[in-house]
Amino acid sequence: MFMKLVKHELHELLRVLLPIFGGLLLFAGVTRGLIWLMQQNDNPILSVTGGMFIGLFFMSCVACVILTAVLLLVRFAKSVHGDEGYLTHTLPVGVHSILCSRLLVSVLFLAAAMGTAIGSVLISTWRLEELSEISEGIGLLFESAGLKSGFWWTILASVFVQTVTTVLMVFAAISIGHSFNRGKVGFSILFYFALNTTASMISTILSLLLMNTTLFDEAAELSTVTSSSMALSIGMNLVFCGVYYFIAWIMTRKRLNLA
Amino acid sequence: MPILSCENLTKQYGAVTALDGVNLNIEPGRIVGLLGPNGSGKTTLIKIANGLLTPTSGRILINGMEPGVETKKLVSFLPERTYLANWMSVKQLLNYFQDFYEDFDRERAATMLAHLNIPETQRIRQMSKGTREKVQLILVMSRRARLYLLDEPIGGVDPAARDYILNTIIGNYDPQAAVVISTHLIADVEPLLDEVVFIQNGHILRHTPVDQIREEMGKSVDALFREEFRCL
Repeated sequence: MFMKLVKHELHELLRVLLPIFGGLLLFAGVTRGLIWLMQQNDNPILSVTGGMFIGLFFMSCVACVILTAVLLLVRFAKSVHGDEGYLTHTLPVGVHSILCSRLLVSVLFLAAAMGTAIGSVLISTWRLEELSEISEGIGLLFESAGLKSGFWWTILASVFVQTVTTVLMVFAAISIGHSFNRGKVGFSILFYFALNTTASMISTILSLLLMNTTLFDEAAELSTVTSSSMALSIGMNLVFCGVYYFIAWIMTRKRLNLA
Repeated sequence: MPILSCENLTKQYGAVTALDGVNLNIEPGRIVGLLGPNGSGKTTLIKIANGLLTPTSGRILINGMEPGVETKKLVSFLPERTYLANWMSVKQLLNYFQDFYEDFDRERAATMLAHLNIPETQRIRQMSKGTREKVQLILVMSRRARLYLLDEPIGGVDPAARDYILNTIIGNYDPQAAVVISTHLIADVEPLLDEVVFIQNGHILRHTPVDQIREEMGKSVDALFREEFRCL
């Protein structure tokens, strides 16, 4: 049943997001062509319009990620706590399956949106040889900081956990907000900021406390400080993930309000 | 064993009590009219039975189980509003229901769609409100469920389709299944009903077989309803 939920969610969102991702990649191709044209011709009008076009392209890359995030949260609110919830919650599936399927699909699409945006920038501006230079540059940077090449995996894990945490925080806020009889959207936004502020305060306090330990003292090497910071960040986010998931689950299971 | 059983069921929305200590048993094989004025608690009762709302106190049992994954396999629910995604075609909805409900009878759905001239290729957004309601009802009635909970099933459809839908409900009669119909259109559903439950302000006022109302009181359900819920 879980995979069926995932399949239907993917289908629903692909229908909307695939044209957006495809459009951005196409835009990147056009931008690359325009950049080449600008390099070949010394025309001031072409330079001005080209510059504006490139600016628009970079804004589109950011907009693609933001739009995806907005569509995902609207989809969650509509299908779990809105009118479509009448169908979702009468399916013979548990709340865990519903939440986990939405989480998996949201993380996948956010990763796809970020990948498409980064890929579009690369398509539009860089050449392959420049890519290898960038890769080498980052390798050198890691080396000078005393970090191993495997540190890439720590960064990826951190980004992944951070994405899951953010998605679950939004789910929790929407689930609390929609338990009210009126002003569901307003309360959802309010609780998002409340959860976000609380998490920031806890993170800051914990970080300040840990700063006094030997891991972060002046004698510690840069690599130790970086690795410890990353591990601390991942650990805290995992705890927040658990808390947000529990909130979303309990609100959907015990306080569902499709009134 | 009753297919639906309420024990002291209470639901409060803040200071408002929607259901107040409701006790009710519905046996399999019965078609029951859940009747009452607006705000009497009909929809709340149906939503609790579907696990869409949680009771403040008391409990509701479906075939002896509290609402959950197992009871959702037994209950086919038609809400008062349209819950279908606008972008989906009828065919996609049939696939969706077939995917999730083991008891979904696709042939039965196809026959009903053909009788009501609704093409499977049509999308929900292309349909009128009445046609959407018909599609939703067809999907719900095409399940071989143990309990059908229909909240205003004929409210938005034309009288001709209304007759077809009511005949469909009778035609799908299964001695193992119960049907609970909540509606204001009492005269239309009256010929179908075995029992009626009158509900007001969250209290069950009456749970009586329809034959008893006709034979002992010499009245139709519609006439009795108008008498008991007359607005002064």
